[in-house]
Amino acid sequence: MQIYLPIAELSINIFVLLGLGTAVGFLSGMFGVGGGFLMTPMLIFLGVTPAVAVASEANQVVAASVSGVMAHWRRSNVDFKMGGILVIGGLAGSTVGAFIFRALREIGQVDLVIFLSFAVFLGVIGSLMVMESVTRIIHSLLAIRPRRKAHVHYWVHGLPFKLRFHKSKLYISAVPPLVIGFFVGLLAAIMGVGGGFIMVPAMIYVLGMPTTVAVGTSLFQIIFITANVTFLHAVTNQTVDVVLALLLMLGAVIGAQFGTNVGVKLRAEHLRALLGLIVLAVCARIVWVLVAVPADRFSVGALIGG
Amino acid sequence: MKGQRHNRRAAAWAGLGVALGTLITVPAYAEPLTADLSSNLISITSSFTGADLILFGTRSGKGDVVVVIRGPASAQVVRHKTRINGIWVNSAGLTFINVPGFYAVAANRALHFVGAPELRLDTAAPAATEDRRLFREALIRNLRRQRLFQPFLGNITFLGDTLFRTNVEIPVNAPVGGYDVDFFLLRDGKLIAQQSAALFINKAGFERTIFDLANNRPAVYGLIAILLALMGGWIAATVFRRT
Repeated sequence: MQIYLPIAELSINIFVLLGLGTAVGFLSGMFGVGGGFLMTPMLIFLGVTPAVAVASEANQVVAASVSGVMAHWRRSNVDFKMGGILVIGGLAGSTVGAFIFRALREIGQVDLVIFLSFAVFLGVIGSLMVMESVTRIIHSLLAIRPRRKAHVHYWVHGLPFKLRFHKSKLYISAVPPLVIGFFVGLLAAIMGVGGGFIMVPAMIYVLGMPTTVAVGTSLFQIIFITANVTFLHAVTNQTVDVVLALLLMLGAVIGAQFGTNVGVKLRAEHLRALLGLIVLAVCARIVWVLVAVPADRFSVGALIGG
Repeated sequence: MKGQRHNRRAAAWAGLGVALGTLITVPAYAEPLTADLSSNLISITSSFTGADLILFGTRSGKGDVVVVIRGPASAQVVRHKTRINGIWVNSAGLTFINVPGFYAVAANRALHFVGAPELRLDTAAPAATEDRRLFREALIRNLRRQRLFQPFLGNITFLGDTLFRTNVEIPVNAPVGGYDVDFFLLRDGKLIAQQSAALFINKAGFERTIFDLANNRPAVYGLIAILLALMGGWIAATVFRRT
């Protein structure tokens, strides 16, 4: 059954969209990630223009993060103070990102920047995931137990404007979270992702937050960032397709339920290796688009701006 | 001329159709060209996958029939990709103004027709002749691939001597707006008669509401999109709450 998407202006099989939502939702439930970094490239591969894919996916991530944060909130795993600081940085970053996006559209380079961003981030994150989990699997086979520090203190924590974060058990400068928030907000606006795949490692390894609190807090701040991205893309680019977003949401909600059930049955390092491989596969597909000789070296697009 | 036609017809029917031939001869007072389309309004609803438009009409006397359909014009940028460090990057670009969003030509045979509405593809800024030719070809090639340009000749069929019809495929990506449909009757390359009809392609119903809201009230639309997502997420979390 085909459905015409009013903003994307193309007709796609409704079951393909629901299936994509379910598949990505399954993975996000299984691995505890947002899924935007997989969904946006998949939408582009389906023929949705990158501008519409990014804006509509940001809209869908709002829903995914709300439903995700509820469970963490109930378990009291959200650091609202840290989340608030990240949101301040993130709102600034995503606003700047939305205007950069608009400027890139006008000069016809937005597709390139989106593809390059995905290639770089998926490549780095996927490789790190695979390497780390393979190391752990080898260590567990050889029965090696790496010594771990309870809490690492970097120079960035000593910057001014120190604040106490009770939930995260931290007393650190507000500058690093502001900068991280800004950077992830920038990515959210340009790539249509929540940015959890960068935010969570940054919170754990740079800010030194406990893992349980990091995931919940990341989801909490993503709601505000992706809502801002949705709004700004709607206003500056008119590229948010709510029909597309709602269909993906519906699929993702169902997929996430199954994914979570499967996820708890698998071992963490195996799970991470698997996700790393999926991420690398999507990365490879994107790199192929960038380097393969295009069928037509000329492309046509509507003049944007003046 | 009329007698000549009768002679030919009589030969073709081998004497059988003399009476019949006289019957279907168009009366002298008839309009030289009368034409219309199967629908003047195409509504894009959620089940829209493109439309098939039937154009039909009658001609009096001999002559070639040509139909030209043009969609709403807009400025389009043609960009040329070049390889930079192994990656294909948009480099040079050329803007064409007044590019019809849809352009189709149909005729009963391949012919050179001087009087047809010219497909003017002017560039926004002056460009070298060779560049202009390359980019113009690329523009037409890309739009043909998207089925938005269908400059094919020779697909009008006649039923009998006077009745003609043709089908035009309106693709799913056809832009919304007013379309001009022009019918021409030519004899020996000279324009005998012309008739115009209007076609509107509009989004309708739910699709229309969303499209209009997104374009006319983008801030309200953005807030609604956020609200829907917040509600959707909350409902999902509530329905699937684990104990």
